[in-house]
Amino acid sequence: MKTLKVALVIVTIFKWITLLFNALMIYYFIKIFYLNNSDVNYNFEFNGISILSDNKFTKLCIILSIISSFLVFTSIHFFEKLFKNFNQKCFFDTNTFNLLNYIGHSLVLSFIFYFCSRILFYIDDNNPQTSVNFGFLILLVFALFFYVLSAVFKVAEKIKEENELTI
Amino acid sequence: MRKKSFSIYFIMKKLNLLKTIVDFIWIMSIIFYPGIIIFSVMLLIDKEVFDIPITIVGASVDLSTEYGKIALIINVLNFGLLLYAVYFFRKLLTRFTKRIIFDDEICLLLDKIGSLVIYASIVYLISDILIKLSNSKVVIQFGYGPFLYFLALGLFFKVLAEVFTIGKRIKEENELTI
Repeated sequence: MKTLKVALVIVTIFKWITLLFNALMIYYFIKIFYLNNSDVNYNFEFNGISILSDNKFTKLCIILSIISSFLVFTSIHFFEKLFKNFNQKCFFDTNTFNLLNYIGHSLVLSFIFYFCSRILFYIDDNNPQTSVNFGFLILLVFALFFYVLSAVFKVAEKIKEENELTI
Repeated sequence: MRKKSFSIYFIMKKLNLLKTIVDFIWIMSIIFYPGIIIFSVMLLIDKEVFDIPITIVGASVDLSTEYGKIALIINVLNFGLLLYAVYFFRKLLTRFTKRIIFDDEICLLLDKIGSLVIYASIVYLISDILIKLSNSKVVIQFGYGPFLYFLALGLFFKVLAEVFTIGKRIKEENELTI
């Protein structure tokens, strides 16, 4: 269980870095679009989405991207909780199953928001980019993997209950 | 009973969708990987053949320096390492589709995937440093690179391998009890 302790520390660090990153994104979003509107910094990027102009379309793209980023943070928070649960040697219980399901839900929602922001970004007339990559699929892969894991843990929970009931 | 079969149907659908996406990633990678190797060798021999800027993991790399060349080689090898992890992940999903869950091979596969992803994260960190050295400029970056992300993922797979070993033991105990 040494691996678990190391993993817990790394996930906790990762969680706080993500939170800081999200807070910075919101701070710069407000600063660029609402506080210092006349001097828009066109070299800024939000989660891979660069500011092309200060119209409502770009704002919507960035808001969707920030929401997606916050949902990733939520999933990391649940992930940390899952590791804490494992650390307390609670492997096959309802809590584990629920946490894995919540991680799956957060990642699916994050994928949807990210996908929408990307689509809007690509159809923006000001966007000079034409390349398409499938990197965003990784969010969906992880979401589905967590759903499958939750089902596996539910099976394990049932086996464990049966085992405990048997004298 | 009906509710149970309904939930199994949905889980199987999610599993099949996951397997389809992973298969797609695997096939695309297998098609393009030899091309990437050939292209990298050509770049290393003569950069002037393709006078285009080369970008590795989001950062442009200067191939005229030794650091840049090493970073390119390391990244191509790292891609191969990740591809090997995807191969094991596909194997794992195939086992899940056959409803083999608590098995020795599953634990072994999870452990192998974890180790490969951890190695990939370390190699990524080294190549990232080399890319920064090849550009020989100081930059301040906000955010997190894939290093922590990969490391956490690798450790998660390692933990899962241990948890599945416990699950397997419970299942064996259950089967032995009359």
